Amino acid sequence: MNEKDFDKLKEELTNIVVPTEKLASMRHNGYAKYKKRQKRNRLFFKQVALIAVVVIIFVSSIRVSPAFANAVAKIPGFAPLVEMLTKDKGLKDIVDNEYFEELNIVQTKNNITLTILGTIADETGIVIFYELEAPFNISNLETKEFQLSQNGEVINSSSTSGWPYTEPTKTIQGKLEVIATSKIDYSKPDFEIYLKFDDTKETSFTIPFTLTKPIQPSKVYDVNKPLKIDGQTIYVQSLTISPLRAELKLKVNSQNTMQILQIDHLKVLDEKGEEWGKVQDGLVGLGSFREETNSIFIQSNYFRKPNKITLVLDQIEALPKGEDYVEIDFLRQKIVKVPPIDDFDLKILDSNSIEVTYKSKEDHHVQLFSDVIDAEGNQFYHNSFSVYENHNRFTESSYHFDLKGAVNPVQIYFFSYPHYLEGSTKVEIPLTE
Amino acid sequence: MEQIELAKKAIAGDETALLQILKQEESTHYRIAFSYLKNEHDSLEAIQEFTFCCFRKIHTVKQAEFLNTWLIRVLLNVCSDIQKKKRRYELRNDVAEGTFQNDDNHLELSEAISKLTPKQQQLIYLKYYCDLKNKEIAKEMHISEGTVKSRLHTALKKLRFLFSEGGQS
Repeated sequence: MNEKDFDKLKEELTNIVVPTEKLASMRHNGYAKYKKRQKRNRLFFKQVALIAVVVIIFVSSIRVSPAFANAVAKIPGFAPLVEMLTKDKGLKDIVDNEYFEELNIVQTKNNITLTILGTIADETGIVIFYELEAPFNISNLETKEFQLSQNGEVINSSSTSGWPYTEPTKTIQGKLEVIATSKIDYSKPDFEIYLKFDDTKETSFTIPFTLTKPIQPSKVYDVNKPLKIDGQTIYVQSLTISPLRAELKLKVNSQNTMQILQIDHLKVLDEKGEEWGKVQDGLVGLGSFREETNSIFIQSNYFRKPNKITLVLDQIEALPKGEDYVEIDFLRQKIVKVPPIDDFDLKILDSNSIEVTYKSKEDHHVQLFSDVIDAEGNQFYHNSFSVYENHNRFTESSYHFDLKGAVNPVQIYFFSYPHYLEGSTKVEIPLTE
Repeated sequence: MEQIELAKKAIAGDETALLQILKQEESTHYRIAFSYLKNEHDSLEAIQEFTFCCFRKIHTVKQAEFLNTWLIRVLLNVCSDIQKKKRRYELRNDVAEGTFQNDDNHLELSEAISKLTPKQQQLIYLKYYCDLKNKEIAKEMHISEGTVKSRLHTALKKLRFLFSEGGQS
């Protein structure tokens, strides 16, 4: 091995014919692939103990009515709220009732400036609005860690962070959403945000803040009524109404022949016929029909104080029991079982992620899978998913699972699938305290 | 110095600038990919994946001066992934056909190089194909010049061993 050998290497390399045209086309493909991925919305979340129901909504253009615009104009810097308002009636009430707290706490590190604009808080959780600014492009900056602590202890919660920016930008406005596993106690309202990004310096921020405005207590109503639909039974257990959201607790009868997954259309009508729908973006529920806890979040009518509401359940997703999971051997990169559903395609991407394509009637942005049971019966969860753009009613999405220590093959249970029970059902709930 | 300006733009998120750099460097990149993967099909696939990775990760490059060496590192990682996938597939074909033939003899040296660790390969390509000085390599890899020397020495020793092994069989 000497310098001459390396001259030979150089010569060998120089002798390789370069297919310029093909290379140009490959470069184009690689770039196109990048642009396609870039278009997806990113939403990072972590879940503690409970499964978080996460929905990704694509907002290409936000139309804002003058009323909304006026409402938001009252709060300087709350731009992310505009987007939320268009999707959540309860939040409009929050703004009208000035149920928010401005903070404007600024911190700069490694040239990145983080401003905590303000919060909306209640016993169920806290939404934190923030702005990021840097002298360079930060559209690719991803949140690596986020947690919220109170009096030195991390709040046990499910949380989301992320933003839909795709074009290069130097400022980002976003929200951090925390939904607590148990009621947040505001007797000592001292909190601390910890946020870490995935830049090379792994810039992290620790920002303490104290809330001074009074927190409205949640109202709890026990319902305990059974609902029958298409031969299956669902129990409505309770309804808890808070400023940020109303939480409906449901349970299924274990004798059901179908595994109920999600309720796609769920609305609440008050005595005047005014409607509130499900929360549509971010965290929209906790738990699942397979677990003890199953909560669906509805847009809140907390500030309206209705006497009675009617709950309407429609488009109930279900798959026959025993056909409600896929089985995959990640070790051998083999699909063991896929239920016989039309237009469903699954691909193994690597040792812990899959990509699926399926057909749905309308945009279907909720995660398809959630919990995983390995060959030895241990439970695992998925920790991120992304939805690419829909083409001809086909949805393409990928799922990444946290499978440390799992024994293959694993069963991945459907959490949602656009296959429905026949009909709809409703129940009246009096709201007298 | 124009190169540096272009690299700075690319790192700041200017997509046209990055495309331009990739075009300028395409021969070097393709040849390295080819010497690693030994055929046009896989090398082209590598360039596609490499382009994708570059756009995704360009914002992590700290200094414009080292963009080119960073590109080669990304390329070698992509090649190594593709080869891993291919190996899995070839292994299966092997069992079916019962034989394994290697008819490339004109690329012996690069064949041997491909058996080095990605870091060692990068070192060799930087030194002998991109003609970088030890000092420049040291700066890029955030190691001392002495470490570059000793690592090169280890890599060459391994190459020599691989060569003699190849010669015996």
